[in-house]
This record gives sequence, C-alpha cells and structure tokens, in this order.
Amino acid sequence: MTGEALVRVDGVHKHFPVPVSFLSREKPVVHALNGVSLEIARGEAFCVVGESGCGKTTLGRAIMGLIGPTRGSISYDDTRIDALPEDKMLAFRRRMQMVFQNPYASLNPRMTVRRTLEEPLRFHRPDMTDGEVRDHVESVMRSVGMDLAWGSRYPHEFSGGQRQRISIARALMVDPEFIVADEPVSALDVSVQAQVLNLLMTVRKERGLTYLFITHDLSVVEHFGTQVAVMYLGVVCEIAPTADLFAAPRHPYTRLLLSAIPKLDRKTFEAVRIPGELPSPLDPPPGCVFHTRCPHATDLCRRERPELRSLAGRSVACHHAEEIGAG
Amino acid sequence: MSAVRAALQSNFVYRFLGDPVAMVSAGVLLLFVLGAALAPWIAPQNPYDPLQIDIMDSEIPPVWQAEGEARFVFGTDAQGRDMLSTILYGTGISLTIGVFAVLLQGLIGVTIGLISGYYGGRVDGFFMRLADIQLSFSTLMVAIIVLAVFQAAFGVGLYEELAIIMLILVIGIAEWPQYARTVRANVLAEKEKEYVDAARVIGLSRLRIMFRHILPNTLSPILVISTVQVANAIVAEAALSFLGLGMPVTKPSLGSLIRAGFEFIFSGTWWITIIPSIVLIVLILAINLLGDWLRDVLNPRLYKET
Repeated sequence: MTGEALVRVDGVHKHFPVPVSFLSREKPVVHALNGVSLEIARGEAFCVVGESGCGKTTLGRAIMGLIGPTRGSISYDDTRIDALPEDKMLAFRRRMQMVFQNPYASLNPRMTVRRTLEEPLRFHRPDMTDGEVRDHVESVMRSVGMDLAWGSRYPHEFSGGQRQRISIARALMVDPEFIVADEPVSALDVSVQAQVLNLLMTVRKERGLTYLFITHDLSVVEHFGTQVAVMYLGVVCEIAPTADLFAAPRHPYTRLLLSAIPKLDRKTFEAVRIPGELPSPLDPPPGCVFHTRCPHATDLCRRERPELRSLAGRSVACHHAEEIGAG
Repeated sequence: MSAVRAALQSNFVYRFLGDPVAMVSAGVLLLFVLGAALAPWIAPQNPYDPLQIDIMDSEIPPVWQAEGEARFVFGTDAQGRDMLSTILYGTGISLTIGVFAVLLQGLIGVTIGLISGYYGGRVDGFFMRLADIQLSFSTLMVAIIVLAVFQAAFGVGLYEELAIIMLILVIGIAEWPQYARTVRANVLAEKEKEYVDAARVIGLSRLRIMFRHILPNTLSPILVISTVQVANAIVAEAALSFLGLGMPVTKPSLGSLIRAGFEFIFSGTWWITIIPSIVLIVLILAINLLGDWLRDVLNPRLYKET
C-alpha cells in the first residue's frame, strides 16, 4: 500500500530542562523522547498511540520543527529538516501542516475565519491575486463542509467540531502532502468525533495525503490507521500494520493497552493486570523502560535496552517477543 | 464582519448605558476634552496674548463673590488673566502631555514587553532587570533630576520653549516598565496557545507572529492600563509643575496654575489655586472611573450582577 519513506525519524532524543533555581547544582531533564526511530511511507495513515506523557505529542512537534531534537535526525523526502534555517524550511512548511488538539486555542480569537484561512495562502503564494485567493479559500471551505457564510465570523461563534473543521481547512490551504494531527478529536464530543475523523479520511483519499495521527484512543486507531506505533515513556515499543497489531500484539505493553479497551461482549476484565505506575520521565529505568511493570521481565530486560527489531512483518522492541507472541 | 462588530459595539454600548458612573465620567471627560480642544474659540480671553491681559484686572474674585465681575466667571489670577480661559487652555496642555506621554510609554513598553515575553531567556532577563532598576527610581525623582539638569544646562529660556516636549519625553520614558510587564505577562500566556504554533507551522516570521497574532490578543489589558496611565501622567506633570519643573507660568498647565496661586492662598485669593485643583481632581477621577469600568467590561471574569 505504500511507497518510499516520506518522513524518516532516526534515533531522536528530546530532553526538556526542568526549571530549577539557577543556583541549583543539578540540572534535571525530562526525557520526553529516548531514541525514537520510525519511517512514515507516502500515503500512509500512521498512528502513534500511548498514554499521556509518553512523548507522542513531542514527536509530532519535533517532526513539524516546532521544537528541535536534542539528538538524532528527522528527514523529509530525504532532506534533513531538523536544524534547518527558517528560510530553507519554508519550502517544507508548504508541504507539511498540522492540526492541533485543542480547537478552542488553535484559532486566533481576533481573526475572522476568512482571514485565518487566507493567511497561509497570502504568505506562501504572494503571486495569487485577491480573486484567486478567494476562490481557493472557498473551494477548500466547501471541501471540508463549511458554509461560506462562516468566513466573516469569529472563532468564538463556533462549536468545537466546527472549529476543528476550520483548523483542518487552514492546514489544507497550502495543499500539503503530509499532515500531523495531534489528537484532533480528543477534545470533541463523541458524536462529533466521528464526523471529524470521517472528514480527515475523506480528504486523505481525495488529496492523497499522508498522516501522522497522534492519539491515545485505540478505537480511533482501529478505524483510521494503516500503521500503528505504540509508544511508552519516550520509546517506540512496537510498529505494525493496524490489523496485525490488533490481531496479535507482540509487545507486553501493547497487550496491556489492548486489554484495556472495554468491550461489550466481555463480561469481566480477564485483563493482563500490570502493576505499578508509569515511571517518571525524569529518571527513566535502565534497560527496557517497561521492565518495572512487565510480567515477563528478566535480568536481561533490566540490564539491556531492547532495540526495535523485525519480527513477522513488524518491529518490536522486546527481548522476549517471540515467546510472548506465540502465547 | 460588520454584524460582529455591531454586536460587540451594542454589548459595549449596552454595558455603558447600564452604568451611570461610567456615563457621568465619560460625560465629564468629554466636557473637559471639548472645552480644551475648543478653547481658542470659546474661551473669553487668550491667556497667551499679553495684549488681552490687563494687570489692573488682577486678583478679581469669582463672579459669585461680592467683588466679582461678570467678565471673569472664575475670577482672575495675579497677572489679570481670566481663570476660566487659563483653565481651559491649561486642561488642554495637561491632557496633551498625558496622552502623548502615554503613547510614548505604550510604544516603548509594548515593544519591549512583546520581545521580552516572546523571545524569553536572556533577552527577557535583560529587559526585566532593566525594568526593575527603572522602577526602583520613582518617576518623579528621575523627572526632577533630568528636568533640573536640563534647565541648568540650557537655560530657562530654552526650557520654557521645549517644556511640553521635555515633559512628554521624561514621563513617557520613566513609566515604560508598567506596560512592558503587563504585556510580557500576557505574551507568556498567549504564546503557549496553539494558534501561535499554527502560525509557526505556516512559517510566519517572529515579528509577524508577535505583532499580528499575539499583540491583538493582549490589547484589552493595554487599553485598561492606558487610562490609568493617562491619569498618572497628568498627575506627574502637575506635581512637576508644582515643583517649578513643569510648564512655565506663561503657558500654564493645571499644575502650574495651582502652583502660581499657592503663593496667594494665605492672602485670601484662594480661587487661583482651588479652582484648578478641583478641575484636576475631577478630571483624574473621571479618567480613573472610566478605566475601572473599561476593565470590568473587557474582563468577562469580572462580570458583575447587574
């Protein structure tokens, strides 16, 4: 289903300094990303799942160039884009766009919808005449199901779902080929979530878009994704085609996540009960980051960090993936 | 757009009409502004024109006093100038200094606040420490030193010519930290919002994000402190004039009028000081009350039960 890799993330680390008194000797850092590597092929709807604080939003923001990685590289269409000067980055800004999580904060409250939508066009396409800009804005507005009368109104007049449509329209305005969607439906009512997801799927089909879809909602992944990456504490645990992952999870953490989905036909939770809390990203455990909660952990896991390795058409970062998957 | 603006305005107007204090304040302020602006046409006398002044008319009490004359409603000062005319012109000078000093403060303070808040780090540290240092000198102290040095260095003649500009510069420069701090605090809150990220993802330059996206969202607090700052600037100018470092007696502001009359207050000619003082107090009160009302209207969290 895919072509060559459009986005390649290679060994990316991101550490955030924790604000401390400037006299303090220690300089603690939050390890938001700990060596993340993945490839997103053209045309894919690549989903990243994980619980809060696992670094999935940081990953999306690093790819968009909103934050620079501490280590590692990010390439887009075989060009390194991390640490690219802003003027060279502009060419890529037209090709990649982002839809944000909170539709109540992602639109400038002092700008009309039309001005919000026109801004990226006027910036990237100064050659377009006023009439062309208007036509383009209107055609995109129609394609995301917006009423043309919305243009002259301000964001506070719209509901969350409507605003998310406006956000999507803004992202589509420069005809990008790649969109990072950072939990675009998690702030919406369940009834509206489906509409927005369907809209995202429709525009993907119409425009041949590639998505990086960040979410914590596995049912959304199942509905939406072609590939899934599961993240835990700044590390990718498992990358697999969606159907394979849901049919046979290999990583113990993936199994934990899947078992946590409530199902109607299940009377009890015969859950893989996993004890413990998420360790602090200030001080991630040595070896496999999941060993503190993993029922299969051995000395090897406590000592050595497992790398992502190919196994039956997917990648898993677990020393014991073979035994677990078979079980 | 027009529909939204109309709605906004109507809410604004509605709140205004529901608040008698705001209406009275606005009315008083409007009266002063109009009186000052139209002074050359409505004032009975031009106090700057020596030909219209007769020293024989000096120290005539207001019209309601026994010795008052109908020509001089509020009486005359020690040089025979009509108090009403002088107050009208003086209010104009006070308001001009207040407004332009605040514009200057705003220009400096908003720019520094935006840069400080948006860039953060060392830039922020530098400007905020600068603001701390500036605030540790009181405005009046800075103004007194600067103006006194200027007077001594360039002579009183030149000083009297440039007094308005000097006062605007001194008061404007001395008070920028008020704006810088308010704007910075707002920028720090705004820049974390996702619409700023969205603008960055589009690739807009920092300047454009700062001035086109963040600044419009920090305007309401700027508007509110501006009213208070205009009042403060007028008071500062009055205080400086009272100390003899403000407007010269030949071109009096409200402050220099109060000072000019102060010398005569114990000889019974109270009106030269008291009347301009009342005008000053009412003017400041009106501006401050209007500022309070504006703050309540622009800050929805402070909606009162009405």
